[in-house]
Amino acid sequence: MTAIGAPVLAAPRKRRDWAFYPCLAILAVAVGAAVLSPWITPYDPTATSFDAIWVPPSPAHWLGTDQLGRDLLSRVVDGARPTLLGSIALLALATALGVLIGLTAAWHRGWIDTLLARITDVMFAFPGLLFVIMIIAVFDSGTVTAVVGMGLAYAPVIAKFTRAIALEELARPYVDSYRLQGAGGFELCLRYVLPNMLPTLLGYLVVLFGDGLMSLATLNFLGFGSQPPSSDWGLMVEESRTGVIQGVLGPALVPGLTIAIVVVATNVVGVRLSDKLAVRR
Amino acid sequence: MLLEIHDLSLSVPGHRILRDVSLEVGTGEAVGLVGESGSGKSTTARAVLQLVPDGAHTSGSISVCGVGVSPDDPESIRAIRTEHAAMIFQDPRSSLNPVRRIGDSATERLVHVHGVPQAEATRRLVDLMAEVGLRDPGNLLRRYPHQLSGGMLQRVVIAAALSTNPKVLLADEATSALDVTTQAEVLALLRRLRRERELAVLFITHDLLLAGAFCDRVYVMKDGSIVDEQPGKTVFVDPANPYTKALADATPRLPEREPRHA
Amino acid sequence: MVTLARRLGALVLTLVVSSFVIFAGMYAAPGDPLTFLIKNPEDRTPDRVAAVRAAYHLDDSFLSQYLSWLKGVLHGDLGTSFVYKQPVADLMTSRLPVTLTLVAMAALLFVVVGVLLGVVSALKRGTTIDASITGVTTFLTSIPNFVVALVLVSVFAVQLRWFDVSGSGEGFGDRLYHLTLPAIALAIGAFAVVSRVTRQTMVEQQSLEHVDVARSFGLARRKIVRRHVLRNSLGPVVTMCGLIIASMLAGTVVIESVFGLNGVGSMLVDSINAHDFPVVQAILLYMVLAYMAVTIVVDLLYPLIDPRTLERSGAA
Repeated sequence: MTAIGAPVLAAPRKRRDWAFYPCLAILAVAVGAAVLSPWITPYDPTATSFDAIWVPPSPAHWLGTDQLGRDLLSRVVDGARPTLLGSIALLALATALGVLIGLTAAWHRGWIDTLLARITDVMFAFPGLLFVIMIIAVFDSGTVTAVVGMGLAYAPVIAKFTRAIALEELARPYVDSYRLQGAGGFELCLRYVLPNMLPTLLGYLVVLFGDGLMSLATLNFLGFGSQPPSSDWGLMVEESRTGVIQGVLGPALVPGLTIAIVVVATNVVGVRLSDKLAVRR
Repeated sequence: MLLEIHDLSLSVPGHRILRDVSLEVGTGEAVGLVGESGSGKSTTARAVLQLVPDGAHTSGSISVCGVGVSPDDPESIRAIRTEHAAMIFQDPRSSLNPVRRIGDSATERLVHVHGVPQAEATRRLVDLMAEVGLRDPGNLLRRYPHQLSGGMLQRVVIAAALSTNPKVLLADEATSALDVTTQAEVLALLRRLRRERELAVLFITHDLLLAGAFCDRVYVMKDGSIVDEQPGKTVFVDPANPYTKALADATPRLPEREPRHA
Repeated sequence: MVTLARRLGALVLTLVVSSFVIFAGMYAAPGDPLTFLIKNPEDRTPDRVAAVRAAYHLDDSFLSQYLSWLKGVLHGDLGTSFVYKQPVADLMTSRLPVTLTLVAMAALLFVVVGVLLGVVSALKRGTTIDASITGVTTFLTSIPNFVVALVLVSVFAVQLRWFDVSGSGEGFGDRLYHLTLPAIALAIGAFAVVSRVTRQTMVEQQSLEHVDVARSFGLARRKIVRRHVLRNSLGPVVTMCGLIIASMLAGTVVIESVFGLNGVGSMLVDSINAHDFPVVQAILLYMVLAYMAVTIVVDLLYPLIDPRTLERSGAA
């Protein structure tokens, strides 16, 4: 269950070097699939064929076909684009908002900080998925609504994290020396403080990316986000439900395990990045 | 001799911690074991109870009240820990389980190791707590560690340690975490208990001055070996051993008082 | 006492703000509620429209609508469903038991299994058992819960026919039988977190001095683990389990959807699709309330687990 709270980073007991590079490769493959999908899919992902419904994996269809006879391999490769793009967009929105809010709270302290803390607390109490569902209720289902809603839901998480590391960063001596030289808050934060925070932020964001992917897939599964005929992975799982009842598990496992593998990969890479980049401390 | 250690060596993979350590403590004696951090004094004391680091290799012999202790003989370890020796640790606040009441922790030895019924164990603890100078023991037993001062906690720890009637007491920096006044009180208490119960006390400390004042004899340790042995009273009076002299010189002391000019 | 009052105050404040946000959200939804209330355009005679508008207070200002809704809530009146034309409160009471039972079963499962796995991991730290437990639980958590649910349905309901494919069952025993697979699906996501927190806390506690003290007077290892390590690990573990339960109460939407359970989560999905706003409002409000209630209960229980908290909050 991925409730949207700060994701619990799996703390590696010892350096799992051996997992890092394979996982990085997995992410590269996923991104590659997203970028190259129009050219590398063996079949047209939208091509239905009523002769080939629920075909098990075979030389013709490596991963089998779904309930409309569409090749699963092509669909899952094609689905990389909407799935990954959605997660990136949601992360971008959440980061832009979250970093801004977090930095402002850390810089100004005082009532702005308290106010923001209260607001983020309320948003935390309101489980993220629910917040998005409410937005969906208001603005109706759709990819954009889902992505924007999720982005807003993740913003407090990022804000809290940003605030914490910003506070640490702002306590460093160089900040005071710049302040004394008359540097304005905005310029200082943007030019000096933020770049120093980026390494720590980066690892965290990679893990959040996986988390967001999962949450977005859940929304799509519920039918609140992407709509057919999109081959978004979450949506693919939803469409596989009729098959599951009839005993055909393939169309559910193909997108489902793909999501799982990509999320695990982002977790491993993200945590490892955090470890590596935080050495500076 | 109630405590005898002969040529104790202890090493963990890649590192020799103790090197042929030999010492002995007789009935009613207070013997100090002094050294800087990392000299191995705590390790030596813990070795008596076989509280050694994982993967440690020991050689040499230890005997308490005539009973030899060996890592290969679990029965001997059990006997030492439950009957013959008891250890007082440095920070009384960490020695007691913070989420349990004092009475619960203090009677743990009697109830959970020796099978004494709780009521009887509590009664014995109350007597012991009076013996160590704590007033209103019944009330204290119902409280939690965070509600008591360091000095009171250490007295409780001492009372609990005495509940199994050990003959050997190992005090590992037992007063180092206390403020000076409380330190003096606890030391006075230990001195009295030693006399009344004829305990053998091994007093571990980094403070040479303290050891010299409290102990009959003092061993000095450096880098895992014993480098000197002195009677307590003379440890500051021109020690021949250069290391001991260095330790003595390093002890901060009040300067000689200038004669007052009228 | 002061902290309790302060916590209750924060709860009330959050509830009020949340209720405002929920209500405002529904109010802001584009589209005229009338189109949902009177489905058939031919029925929209001026009289009919006026009557409906009056019945649902659709002509009042936003603030007065909000306040009257709030007042109703405090009296147990959650409004009337646009779709079912029944009091929302009745709908809630008919659906809540399913969700609550589901969460209760899942909670029992993940607490027992999760803590057990965590204890085993901690005691066998560094061995392959430890690594396997961590690996398997982490992987299970990374699989989306709806996929896990579908796999469970496929294996245990379709292939093995041990369970029904969907439905919540009638009667207590039948209900438990039908909720078993869903509860497992719900609990699987929590195994990793619970076992990890348990393991980590126990490892920390094991290195504390009172454990060494207990060893020094010969306390048996089993008793040391029980009385010093496990007992002291309860705090963080209970807090984590509480948080998980709190968010589960609001997070059964997916599981209910997959297993066809008529709980509050699936009602939320249905009422969103049907634009049945009073129901959506009520469910969202329940979810916030449930979340806060559980976290407060955990906070209140905490001093029983760790007496030091009373000292810190100054309420000794």
